[in-house]
Amino acid sequence: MSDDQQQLRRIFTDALEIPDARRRADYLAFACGVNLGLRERIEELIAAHAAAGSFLGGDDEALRGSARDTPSVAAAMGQAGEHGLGRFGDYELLEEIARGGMGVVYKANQASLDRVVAVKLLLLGQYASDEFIHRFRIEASAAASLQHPNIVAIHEVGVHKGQHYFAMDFVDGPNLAQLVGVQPLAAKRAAGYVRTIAEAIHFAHNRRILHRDLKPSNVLIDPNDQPRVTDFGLAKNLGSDSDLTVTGQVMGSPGFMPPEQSLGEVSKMGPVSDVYSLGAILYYALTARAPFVGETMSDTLRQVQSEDPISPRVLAPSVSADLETICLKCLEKEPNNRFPSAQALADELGRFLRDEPIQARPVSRAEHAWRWCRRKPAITGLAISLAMLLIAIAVGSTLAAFRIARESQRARKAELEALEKKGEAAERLWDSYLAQARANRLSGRSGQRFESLDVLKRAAEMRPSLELRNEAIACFALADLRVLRQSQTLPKWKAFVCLDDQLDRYAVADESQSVRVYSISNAEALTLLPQAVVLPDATPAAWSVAKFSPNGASLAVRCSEGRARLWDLIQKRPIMDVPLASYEGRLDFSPDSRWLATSDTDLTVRIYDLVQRREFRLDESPLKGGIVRFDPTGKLLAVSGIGGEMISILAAFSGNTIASLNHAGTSVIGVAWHPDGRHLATACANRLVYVWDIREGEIVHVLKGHDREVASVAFNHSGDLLASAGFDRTTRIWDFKSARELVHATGGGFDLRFSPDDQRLGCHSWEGNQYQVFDVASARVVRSFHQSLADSVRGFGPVGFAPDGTIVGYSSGNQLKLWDLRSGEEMSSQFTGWLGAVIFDAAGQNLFLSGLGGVLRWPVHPNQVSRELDLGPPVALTPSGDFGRAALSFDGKVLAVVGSNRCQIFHADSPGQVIQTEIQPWMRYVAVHPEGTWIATGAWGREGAKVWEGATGRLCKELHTGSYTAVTFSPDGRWLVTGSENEYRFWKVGQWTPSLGIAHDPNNATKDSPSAMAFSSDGKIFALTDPQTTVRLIDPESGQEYARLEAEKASEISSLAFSPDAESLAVGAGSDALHVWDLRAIGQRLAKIGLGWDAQHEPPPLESDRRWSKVRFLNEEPSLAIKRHDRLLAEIPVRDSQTTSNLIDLSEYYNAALTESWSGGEGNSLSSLPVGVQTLKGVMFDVRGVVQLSGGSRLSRFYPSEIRGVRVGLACRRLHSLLASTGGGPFQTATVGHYLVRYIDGSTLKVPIDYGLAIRDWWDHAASPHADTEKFLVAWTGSNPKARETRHSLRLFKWTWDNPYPKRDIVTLDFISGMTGVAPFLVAITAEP
Amino acid sequence: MSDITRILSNIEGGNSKATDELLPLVYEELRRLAAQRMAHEAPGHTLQPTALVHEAWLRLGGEENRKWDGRGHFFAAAAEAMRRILIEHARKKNALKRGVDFERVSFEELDGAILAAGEEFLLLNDALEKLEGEDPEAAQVVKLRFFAGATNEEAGRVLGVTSRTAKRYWTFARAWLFQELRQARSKA
Repeated sequence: MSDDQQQLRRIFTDALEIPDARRRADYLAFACGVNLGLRERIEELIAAHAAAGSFLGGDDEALRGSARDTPSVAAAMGQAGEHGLGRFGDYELLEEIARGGMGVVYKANQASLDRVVAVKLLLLGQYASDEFIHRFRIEASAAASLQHPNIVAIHEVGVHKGQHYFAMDFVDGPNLAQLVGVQPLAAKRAAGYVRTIAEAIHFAHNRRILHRDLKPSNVLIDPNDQPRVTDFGLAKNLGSDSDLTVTGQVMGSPGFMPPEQSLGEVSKMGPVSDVYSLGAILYYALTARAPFVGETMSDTLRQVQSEDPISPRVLAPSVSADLETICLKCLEKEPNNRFPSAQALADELGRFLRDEPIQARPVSRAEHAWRWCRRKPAITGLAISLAMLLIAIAVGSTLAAFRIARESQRARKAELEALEKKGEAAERLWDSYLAQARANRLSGRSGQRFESLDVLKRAAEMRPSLELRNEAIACFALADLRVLRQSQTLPKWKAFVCLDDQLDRYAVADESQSVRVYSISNAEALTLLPQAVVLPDATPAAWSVAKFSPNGASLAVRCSEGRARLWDLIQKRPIMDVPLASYEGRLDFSPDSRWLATSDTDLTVRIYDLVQRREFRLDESPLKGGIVRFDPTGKLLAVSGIGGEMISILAAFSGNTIASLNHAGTSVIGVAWHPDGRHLATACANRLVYVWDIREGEIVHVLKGHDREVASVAFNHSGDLLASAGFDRTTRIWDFKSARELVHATGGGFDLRFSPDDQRLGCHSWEGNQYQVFDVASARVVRSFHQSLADSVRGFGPVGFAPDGTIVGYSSGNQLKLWDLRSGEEMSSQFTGWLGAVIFDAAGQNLFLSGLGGVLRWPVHPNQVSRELDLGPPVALTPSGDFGRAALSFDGKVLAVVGSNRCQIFHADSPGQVIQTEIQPWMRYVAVHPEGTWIATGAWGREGAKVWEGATGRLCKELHTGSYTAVTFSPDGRWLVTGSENEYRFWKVGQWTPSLGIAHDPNNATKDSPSAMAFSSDGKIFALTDPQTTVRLIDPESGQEYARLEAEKASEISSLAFSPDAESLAVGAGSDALHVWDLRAIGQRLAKIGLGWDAQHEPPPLESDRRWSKVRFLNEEPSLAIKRHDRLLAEIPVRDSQTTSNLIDLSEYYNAALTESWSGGEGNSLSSLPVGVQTLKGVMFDVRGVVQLSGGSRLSRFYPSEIRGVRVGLACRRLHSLLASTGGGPFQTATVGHYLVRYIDGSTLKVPIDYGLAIRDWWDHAASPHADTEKFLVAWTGSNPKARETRHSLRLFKWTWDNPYPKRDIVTLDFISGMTGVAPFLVAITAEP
Repeated sequence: MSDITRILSNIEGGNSKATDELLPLVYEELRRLAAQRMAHEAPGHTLQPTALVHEAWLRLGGEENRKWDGRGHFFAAAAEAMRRILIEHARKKNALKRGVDFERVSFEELDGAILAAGEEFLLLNDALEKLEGEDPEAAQVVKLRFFAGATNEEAGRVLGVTSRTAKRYWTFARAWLFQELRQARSKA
């Protein structure tokens, strides 16, 4: 039985034993925590229990019996009732003073000692589980061991008549919650209390006791105004092995508990969890409000986990910045970012109280904004309020919108003042503009770009500056959406509006039975169709009343019940009528307007040829009429029933089903085709939008953001944006490739569509009585070219441009991909394994790659006539080996590559000869002088850069630069540039004397060394990363900054490359993305708002700006083909005809025999593994050969990266696989690949093969701690006497996957390797029926 | 020594196969008893499964084996046997309703409250099987209590838990099954 089930049963029965409904609800909330599903299930069962009556003979033998044994609190109270509160053992209970999740506290008189104490009784009394009582006892004994003036002392822990209790000091004073009430405390008083408590908590921590339930009500203020901590309610002895909380169970008080606790990550809790709660108490004392306050407990928990607290200074402006910094540092989500101990917090508060400078530095985005504001010269009242505004917005306060509005008013007021008093007022106005622009930009709301640029333009008119320019560039990188125009609201259900595809015209059908067509731009009436429409009686689906054809020449109108009439809008006459039985039926035109498809509730999909006026009727489909949508070619239809779970992709004229997209568990309300015809977006009732790849039948994106059902979706024509509208009355714009939400605006409705130029987005309201047209701006100045979405491998991300500037190459993970720069279309990809460099030579003759597969030169063969570009076959410059970054001389003849802590130099003129430099540990960076004379290198964590002779590899100069030194040469060969932790420095080549220096950005507080630097080919622009998420563009002559480029939610940049014409800058981020900035477009747009930059660079003319029609890697083999190891030595034994079909037949996939020595290592054979059907770890396997995958290592020359289409053909509960892998390198844990399981109903499941710590390497020590984990059982161990690297043995693992759909037939399996440097192999698969 | 005593002592002797032998024995005996009793009872009389099981226990010679362990094994087998009999009965009754087959149903009135609708009982059985998949202990308590008339204490001893825990299992399982049936009905 699963732990979940046990937990369900336990909490259910515990809850049932609490008679009081409210307290029972509290207990449930407490016990289930964030597991809301569990809570709902239990509530359901409790309701069932109440309704069950005499079901199965009733719930007899109720708790009466057991209640006799142990008296409850209530029973104790009952006894007490006879004389006041009465006696409880040695104690006379005087009054109830507190009540919490675990107990009730009474003020009591201890008779034997005649003193006043507080007695806490375990609330759940006789129904408490053993675990609960155990916890209670531990709590008491833990606290009893603490003797500290600021901790409430425990006198006695005991049981009286079955009632557990403990007695402690009675503190005659309010708790902090009562003291604060609604009025915040003065800052120093609050800080003083928290400092004292922090010291007491530190005292407990030193005795290995955590409090775990710190909150204001657990801090009592005694008559001497000293705070005392009580209720070590959830205390856990740090030294004890026993984990007293049930795994995953949330305990504590949500508003004050750290995220690791609210997530139930008990193992992550430590002293800094209490530091968090201390910060929360400080926050509360300063603002009279918990850091997170939700409408419901689950809402609060969500905020604790995912939102930043509102800055205390927003709530209480008198709080100083330092105190806020201290408070927010405690509340960091990431425990490592908090104060390392309670004492450290106490010390910092001490400094604050003594007015000394504090040590904590603000680090968050909010703090950045704040510090930016403080740096402003004119700190006026206005600027301070702006700073607060910025913080509020930066942390995503819901007040942001309101504040922006207020800020605009301030700006206008300032504007008026400016007219009155030139001078200082003008500077204030300028500040307010910049602040307002930044506030808007950071708001993530509609107007983030449009409105920011409007005010920046005004500020630029007063005084252009770098700050304004950077702000403007950041705005250009944002998408935006705002309502441009909307029609008046017509009477609901009495008139219906629809828009044409060009967003030029709209039609109104109303009760007059006529249809009128108007121009959107001037509302001029264009066409009148009298007696054209009969409005439905019942509430109709608004989309079904009228629809324009894509070419705008005709209009389909529902003319009466059961019919739609197609009108020729030019001739104003009907073309034809089509039956459309109900208002749930829908229709759609093909993109060329020739065909009309209808989908109706009589179960048919019909297609009409509007030219020939003929009807095609598709075979009855099992789908109730609803959605019908032509693909961009007009050859496919997406069809589904209203509210259907299944979308069928049908060939439009045969009716054959091409794909079935199963949305099990939710229903689809709207669909949209991507212009590529391959992807389909579905808007669903479960608040999500799915993007499907219909060829693979897989979901590639899930878009989360809407708070209610999503009903309408649309792609723009260039295919980079997706719009969705939902019943939450918002419209959202998403980036298609990254699936990120870019912006949202209020409004929206059905029938979303983009205008042909993609600048506008139209829809009509949910009731159909109004249209809306939005202005849309996409972040065109920066485009994202992403890796394959299925590729989970993290790479380094080198980038390179082809010399004609039309192609950009980027590698992340295992693949090198080449994109057409203009269209953003992927031209070709090649499996290369991990790469450290992608370099095209300037003449366009070669592509050099260095990485785990060695150093390869791919000759480039352009065919200028056919415009086809062939690459390869590759020439290996090294036998093999692991290499990283590389650099090339201008003539392409000297290539330097770092690998194995040295630099290897290849000269094209003397092939086969490799010059090696000396070894330098951690050598990682390399640059080659344009003439090939010098090679410069830098290393991680090591001081200095080294300069070597290109011809000999001899060291000729060491430069003192600081550690982590990146290097590059200027294109004119005059300068070597180094970038280190300390600074960026230009060195005069030849003399090696220091020249121009550039300081790190002051915001780069961690002094990240540059991960990448690059010059434009004319040497006029120098780009560097500083900090690692930002690109600074610098004038190399003066060191002046032109601008900086910061993509929204940027990831760490690992490489930079300018296009040859310097109009584009490619930015590679190893983890996920290639961004390409369009510098020309940025320049043009800046100029328009008076912020143009004056970079005087002269781009060389391009040889050709024509795109290539085709790019091919010549040794590229079809990825599905099986590559045979060229040393396949032995035949694979034939499969025994008696072998049952659940032992999956891998015959056609074996690419190595068991006896064979493979994957390059001597003795890497499984020859001692018995051949044939045999039982290993209790499972029968058909063991005959090996399916070896390359895993992106150098094995990729021999083995494929995936196998596809392994036939299974049955339903099974489990799949057992016999597998292991070679390699492993530095990886401690590994998802080495995945199975893609394809079910009979067309659905697929991606199953990661996560080795975790199980297998670092397939040969392993006998004493390996990694053997036999829960999922991986060592199934076979063989000896391997010859193996070079093997220490003891070879191992195969049995990995078992529990199929969540045991009744669904599995058609096929794909096995796809997914991790660089680990080569998985597979020996057998067995399905357990 | 009666068959049952032999089997029970085999079980205690560690012969686990003996458990398999126990079930058919108990099953046959319960069937026979039920049919016999029904033949002699007036129409409308309800025969309690509990009474049947206890009678079967006596008739099979259980009294020779007074130790609880043996009785516990018997209860487990009886619960399973009784459940199968009732399912059989319900299936026949359903078939009867559909006019497929006619067979004299020997214990029509057996616990009329449940068996009034055969389909309902089958639903219950389905739900019970589902519960067994999720929470075998709780399902076992239902079988013991509902089909074999065991008390909480007896059920607890079969499972090796206290009667209080058995009672908690029962309460949980009852609510669980009720909810399951409620949902099944609303779907139907």
